[in-house]
Order: sequence, then structure tokens, then C-alpha cells
Amino acid sequence: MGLTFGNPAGLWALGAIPVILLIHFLQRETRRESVSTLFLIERLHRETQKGRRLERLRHSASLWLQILAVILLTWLLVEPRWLRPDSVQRIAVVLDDSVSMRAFAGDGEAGVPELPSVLRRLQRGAAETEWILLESSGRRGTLYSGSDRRELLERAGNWRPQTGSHNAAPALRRAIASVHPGGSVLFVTDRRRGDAPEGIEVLGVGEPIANAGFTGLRLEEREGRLVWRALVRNYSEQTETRTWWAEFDEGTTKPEEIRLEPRGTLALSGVLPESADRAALVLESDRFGLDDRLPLVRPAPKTLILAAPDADSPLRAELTAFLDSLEHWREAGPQENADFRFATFNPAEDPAGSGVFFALADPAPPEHTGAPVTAERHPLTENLAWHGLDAAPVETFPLRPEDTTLLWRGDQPLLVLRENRGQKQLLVYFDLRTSNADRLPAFVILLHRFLDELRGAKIAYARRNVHTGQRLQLAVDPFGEAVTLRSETGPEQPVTASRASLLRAPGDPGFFSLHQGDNLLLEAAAHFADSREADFRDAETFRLEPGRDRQREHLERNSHRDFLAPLWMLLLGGVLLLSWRCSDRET
Amino acid sequence: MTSPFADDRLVAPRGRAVEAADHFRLPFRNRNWRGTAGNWSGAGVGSSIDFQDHRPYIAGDDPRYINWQAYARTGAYTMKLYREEVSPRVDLVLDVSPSMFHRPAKAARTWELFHFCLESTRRSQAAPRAWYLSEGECREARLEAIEQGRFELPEFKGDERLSLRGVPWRQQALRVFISDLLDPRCGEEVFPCLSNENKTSLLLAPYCREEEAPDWSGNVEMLDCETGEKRIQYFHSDLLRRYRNDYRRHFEMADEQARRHRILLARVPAEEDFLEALRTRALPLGAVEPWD
Repeated sequence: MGLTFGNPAGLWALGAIPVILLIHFLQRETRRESVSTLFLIERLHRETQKGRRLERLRHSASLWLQILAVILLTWLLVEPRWLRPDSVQRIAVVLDDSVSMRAFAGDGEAGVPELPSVLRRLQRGAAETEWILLESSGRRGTLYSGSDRRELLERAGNWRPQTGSHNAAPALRRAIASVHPGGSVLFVTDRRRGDAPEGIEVLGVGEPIANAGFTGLRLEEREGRLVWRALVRNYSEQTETRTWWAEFDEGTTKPEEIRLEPRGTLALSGVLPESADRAALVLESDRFGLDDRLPLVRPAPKTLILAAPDADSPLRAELTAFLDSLEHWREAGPQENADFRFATFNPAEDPAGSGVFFALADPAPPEHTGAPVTAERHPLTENLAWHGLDAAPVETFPLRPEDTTLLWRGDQPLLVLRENRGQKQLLVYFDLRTSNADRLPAFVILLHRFLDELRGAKIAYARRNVHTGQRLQLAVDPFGEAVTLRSETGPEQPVTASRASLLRAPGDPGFFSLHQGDNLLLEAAAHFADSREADFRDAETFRLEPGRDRQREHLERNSHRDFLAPLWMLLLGGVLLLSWRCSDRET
Repeated sequence: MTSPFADDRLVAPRGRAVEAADHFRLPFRNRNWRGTAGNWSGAGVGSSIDFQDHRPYIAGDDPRYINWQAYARTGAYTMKLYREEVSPRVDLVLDVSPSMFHRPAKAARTWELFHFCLESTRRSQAAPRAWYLSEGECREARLEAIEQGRFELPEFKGDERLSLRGVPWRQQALRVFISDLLDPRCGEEVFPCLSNENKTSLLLAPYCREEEAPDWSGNVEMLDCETGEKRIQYFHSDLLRRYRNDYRRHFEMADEQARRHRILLARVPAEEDFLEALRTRALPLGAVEPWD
């Protein structure tokens, strides 16, 4: 039958023992005596030289009785309780999945060093314990469930945090619900004490560390060359010196030392050689290694095949400026299927294929009534200003139920989004020639957004730079083979095509690729850029325990009181009386 | 080191010693004395009234002691011999090491014993000589000066050695030694020297309760009253009990040595009345005897 204590703080009473010892020694202050029998004492001393200090204590009855009284008092104060043999508790351990935890656990280390002792203590709360191991992001579900604490520790030791800043509350609520009633939840985190949730036990394992790392990347074309620009940030309050270099397939640049001011940022830049499609910027490693390596690839967006208006089309002149600003597209060949087209249409008819379709008003429509232009809430119209649009709607026509009107003038639609047999169409219900839309930024941006949507939905090869853990949103053949993510930092990760939209970039910086069958769909570089996770100035080590009432309730459910407590109480009284008598006699 | 007992106040015990001498004396009886003429029966032939023996006359004998009645009966000159009357010799040695005086009661008892011996000697018309023994050396005490209250004690220099080897004992004298025997080597340095052929010697040992059963408890910084040596010792009841046992054993061994060397060892407690102490401690051993 296990023993546990209702009031462990009562152990502080043991501190009275050194005080008693001190008092005993102080009471017996040295007294001076002139003696004539020193030779007898010296003879005695030679006999008792070994263990003399122990002898001093062994034979003072009052001292030992007082120590016994303290021990009895401590025993009563700690409220010993014996665990019921049939008591069972459920304990959920929630690991903070934010990547900043890697500086303290789960990054090649043997888990959180303090965790075994905390779990041992929690386990003493009942005869049997069922463990549940979760992570705060909930991405990987339940990491362990069972009654083997060592197995749980092993899983926790192999676990690696992979998420950026996130809200742990939902996972904690799930954990509380899973152990209810009477269970305990332990949240292991590196967050600040002030950010810790209440009502559960929290083990803060963080500590301030001096971290410096890459915090951002920008790529731009200059004079036909790709220039990269990376920011290095020092998160600490002291000046840091680091060495950095760039790695290419062909070799490595010479390491250079940089000096980073406290909380300062430094920009590094360079040119990606023509022959290289990828590179990695490396910073001398520190305790938090995620931001010490920044891989990058030469971006290669999908190319759109466009059927532009003919030269004699009435729209060609209005769309010329727009087409000049459009990147990564080409004209469709004579026999080639275009990804989308710019075309005119008759509002009374149904246009075919993806594209932007313009209605022509011939003869010219009357001046518009002056009704205001209003935009529906939609990703394509978000944050766009339309009040400068001078466009009169064409004649009334019927809208379909699946149509989404983006823009209105009064009660008449100006822009409509239609899904027509899987093809995306943007229908323009005003005459572009008589309006100022081609010069209105909102309209041009909307067209770019629409084309980007089409580009995203196109199943084709692309190369891009992403953040670690970023959702990839890749267009795949929904009826095709499984999609496989291959990365240099982890195992191959195959998913069915229907779940491809859930794929995320790897949690570690590095290069990876996505394949569907034999088709290479994406080559990418994932880099870490979450500055909140890389900042450890406020990290701290702490321990928060749930309210005393909850602990008490838990204890009372799983254990019963020491029924000998009254006897100990009587014994304490007896010992105190005896001690008083002895000390009186000794005095 | 200055003698701690050179204090007139310590001479006061003389009155009690004189009072005790009214009741008791040193054990002169039951002993054959030799020496100058006196009041005590000697071992040889003398002029006392105690008849001892007859022997034939030899030329040169004092004709006053011819037994004329015997001559009338036998016709031969026969000498009538009487026991000699002598003054006993008493050699008194006083241990004047500081331990003898380091408690007032013990110091008083020491002086009481010393004066008692002198007074007893005086009243018995014995021939005393006294010595002060200090640091293994002895210096004769001038009895006239003592009578005048001047003790002329030697300076004590801090040597705790107790030895009777340097004492110039007289032949046939009653050897009396007053000492507390608080020396680990007293078995070799005291008893063999005090032993007087087949005659009994006397050893009077004053002691006080503080050294027999001290009340030390806890830390005690001990200062040796003779050498000045310091020692800090923690005392608990067990250690104290063992100290008392050792103290008792020390004097049991002294008793054993005394018996072996025909020495009467009488330990005289300092806390009791002097007369009562002599009656209970010395009289049963024969260390003192009552007047006839």
C-alpha cells in the first residue's frame, strides 16, 4: 500500500532538527574549570577518540526525545495518507509543440530532463495510473496511451516539436476532458509563467538563451540575375559574433564573421549563380538550431498558357497594358489548349472554358444611374477600393444560383464569378471599352488574383521557397496516384491525392519535393522564419501546480487517512513531557 | 608559578587540627622505637621501669642494675635489664603541589592534616622533621618558622612530577606523607620510597568531592591547576560515569600498592568535619590512634 502526503509542506518542520541541535550546543556553552585530574580525562579521551562526536549526541536523552518529537510532529503535519489499492488515476501529459521547445527538449536530447521525476511524483497519486501523451498542436494525435510510464517517457524522448506559435488551449481542453473526472493534466512548455494556463500543473522548462538566426528571405531579379537578401537577427541583449557561409551544389563560400548588436538585425545579400538552382545560407550553430540554416531555391512559378484576344479584337487595346504586367505566361499555340482566355461574350449565352469574359454593349449603354458600387466580401475583392469605377452595367440578364456576384452597381451585377463544369470564369458585365476599369488598380489587382487562383489550380511543376510547416496547397490530380513528399530531413511521406491539400512543408529547414506518381510537382526549400519562437529572452523555468482544493480532492479520492494519527498525537505529547523531564534533570 | 596557597587564611585550620590532636595521635603504639631518650619504649635496653630481661654481669656494666637478690641466691652477678625509653622519630613530608590546594576545602584539609601531624608529634614528644615536596624535590621545613606562622613554601614552577626519591628519610623514623596522589606515576615514585623495611608508613590523602564526583556537563574548558595545560572536553553522563570509575580505579590501585608496601593509606575527605573524618576514615585503618 503506497504512502503519500496530504501536506508535503509539513516536511519543513524537519528544519527544526538543526535548530534543536544548535540550541543544544549553544546551551552547553564552554565553561571554564580548574582541574587537578586532567591526566584521568586525557586517558579517557584516548579511549574514546573514535566516534566522539556521535557519542556527544547519543547520550543526551532530551536531545533525542526532542528530535523524536519533531519527527512525530512532521509526520502529523504532512498528513500521511495510504493509497487505496483499487485507486486509478488518469494523467495527460501535454507537450508544447512550439518549435522553441527544441532548445530545451526533443532536439536530439533525451526529452525534458525534469519530466521523469515529475511523472514519478504524479504516479504516486494512485495505485494505478493510465497515461496519455499529447502535443499542444494536436497534429499527430495521441502520442501514447497506456499504463507504462517508461514507455511514455521514451515516446516523449523521441518526440520533436514542429509547430510555430499556436494556441495550446484547445489541446489542453481536450486533455482535461480525457482525464475527467479526477485526473491530472501536466503541460510541459517553455512559455513564460504569465502565459501558462490555470487549473492544471505546468512545468516550465525554458530559460533565457542567447539566440541569433535567419529571420527572413527575399529574392528579386536584378539585371537578369537572382539576388537573395536574408536578415539575421540577434534576439539577445548582448552583442553576438557569428560566422556565416553559403553552400551551393558546387561548393561553399568562405566563412565570414559578423557582429550582431543587441536585439539588432543585419542584412546579408548575394547573387545566386546562374548555374545553381538552390543554395543554403548557414550560420554558426547555437542552442536553437532551426534558424541557423536557410535553404533557398530559384523560384519557378507555373507557366500559364493564355489565349489572348486577337489583334483585331475590340479588347486588345484595353488589355495590352495588363498583359504586359503579367508574368510567367505564354500565348497558346494554334492547336494548344489554353489554361484560360480573355474573350467577349454574350450575357445571354453561356461562355465555355476558364477565363475572363467581357460583355460588350453595342450600342453603348446609357449613363449609369449613379448608384454606388459595392463589393461583396470575397478573397478576390478583399481590401480593394472601387469607388472610382466608372462603368455602366449591361442589360439585365439572369444569374445562375451557383454564380457569385463580386461587384454591384445598385442592384445590378458588374462582376460575377462562375463555376461552369469545373471551369472558373470571371464574367465582366460592363463594357471595358467605355469604362475606366483598365486603369483602376482594384480591377487590375482582381484580375491578377483571379489568374493566380487559376495558376494555383493548374497541375504543373513549380519551384518555390516556403516556411517550415507551411501548408502547401498544391494542385494535384484528385483521381491520380498518391502524392509523396520527399525531404532531406525526414522520411518519405506519402498521402492519398484527396489528402494532398493537408500536406505541410517539413518542420526542419531543408529541401524537399512533391511527386504524384512519376510527376514531379514541386521542388521547394523550407526555411524557419518565426521570430516569436526564436526569441528566448522571456523564457523561464518554473513549476505551477493546480489549486490546493483540486489536489486535496484528488488525494482524498485515491487514499485514506492514517488511522494511527491519534496514537501518534498521544505519543508526541508523551515524548514532549518526557523530554521536558529529561532536560530538567540534565539541567 | 606562584603558590596558590600562600595565604594566611589557609592557616586557620590549625585550630581544628589542634582540637583533633586532643583526641587522636599518630600511630606510635605497637611499634619498637629507637632514638634519643624519651617517653616511648624503645627497642633496646634502657633505664625505664619496664623490666625486660636478665643477663650475666659484664665488666663495665652499671652496678646500679645488678640484681642483688639473685646474687644472694646464686652467688653470681646478674644484671637486671629494663626497656629503653626513646623519643620516636617522625619524618613528615607534605606534597605542596597546587592540586593539594586548588579547592579551598581541600587546601584547608591539607593544612589540617599537616598541623595535626605536627601537633601529634609535639604532644608525643617525638622528634619530627618536615619537608615540603614539590616538583620531585624536597625542602626541609623549619618547624620554628611554622610555629610562628611562616611556612616558607617553595616556588612552584609548573612541573607536576610527584616523587619521594629525594627525601632524606631517617632510620627508624615514622614516615608520614601527605599527598592527594593525583599523579599517574605515583605507583612507581611514591609507594616504594615511602616503604620503610618492615615498618609501617603512613600516607594521608586529602581529597574533595569536586575531583571525585564532578558535575561537568557539556563543553568544559579545563585548565590544569599545575601545568596550566588547557583542554576543551565535551562531557555527557556516560563520559562522566567513566571518569568517576577511572578515578575510583586509580585509588583502588593506590590502595593495592599501599598494602603491598605496608603503608597505611587513609583518604580524608575535605567536606567532612576534620575530627569526624579522622574518626571514620583514618582510625579504622590504624592511621591514627586515640590517646590512652
